[in-house]
Amino acid sequence: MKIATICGWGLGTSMILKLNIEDILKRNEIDAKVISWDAMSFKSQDADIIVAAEDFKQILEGNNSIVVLIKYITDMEEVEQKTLEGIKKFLEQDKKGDKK
Amino acid sequence: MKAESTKAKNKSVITLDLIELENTSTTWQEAVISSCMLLVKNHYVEQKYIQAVLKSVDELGPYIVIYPGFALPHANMEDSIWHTGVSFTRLLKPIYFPKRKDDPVNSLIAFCSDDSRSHIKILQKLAMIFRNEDLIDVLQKSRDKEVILNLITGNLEMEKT
Repeated sequence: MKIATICGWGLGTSMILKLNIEDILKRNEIDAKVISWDAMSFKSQDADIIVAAEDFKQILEGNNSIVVLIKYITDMEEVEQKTLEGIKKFLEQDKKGDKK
Repeated sequence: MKAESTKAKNKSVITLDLIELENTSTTWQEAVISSCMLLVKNHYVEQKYIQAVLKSVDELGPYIVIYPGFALPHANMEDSIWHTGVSFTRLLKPIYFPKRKDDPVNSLIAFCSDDSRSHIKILQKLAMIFRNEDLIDVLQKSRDKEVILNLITGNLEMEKT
């Protein structure tokens, strides 16, 4: 499972988000790869789940990946809850073979 | 002044000179400029870095508001960054970013990375600080620059109450 985080520049907020998600995956014993992208070049990339600040909602519209939007990327409760929801969705889609 | 000649390999990521606790900015642009100017004045980035940060907020929205009250202005304009650095600016009055009218921000942590390992360490420290309410409280209220410096560089041991 591939999870991507997005930020304007791919090095600041997306990295904090990446660190937080890696922690969440570890605690929940979920195996997934997390990478951080910048908002300008992500369109040529591929991921199962994209986690990003709410502000990126528009640029992510129509994207085939499961999109998880976060208000405060350092709020672990919010990030954990929403990321786990996104992972659950992905696993359900995968089971049904609906994965695009 | 060429960037190469002023690169100091042993420069600290944050110093007392990069901390300002009573900033009087009244708009988000002023606040972002103030926090980035600390990095410019102390030779961590060039002036044009500030334009890149303002532009990213204009174009992408205030994604830099990472926690209630806190924004992390930053940009990846490699040719304007001389050394990884972090500045801390606390405002006397909160400001509001566009599209976040219910989200007052009174602390800005401006950050620049020269792509070395040190930036990952600093981001890890920031991520850890924001998981601890006591530490966030210190960042929001402490009037002691040394305390804030130690917190961000990770030397502060906080006893959990």
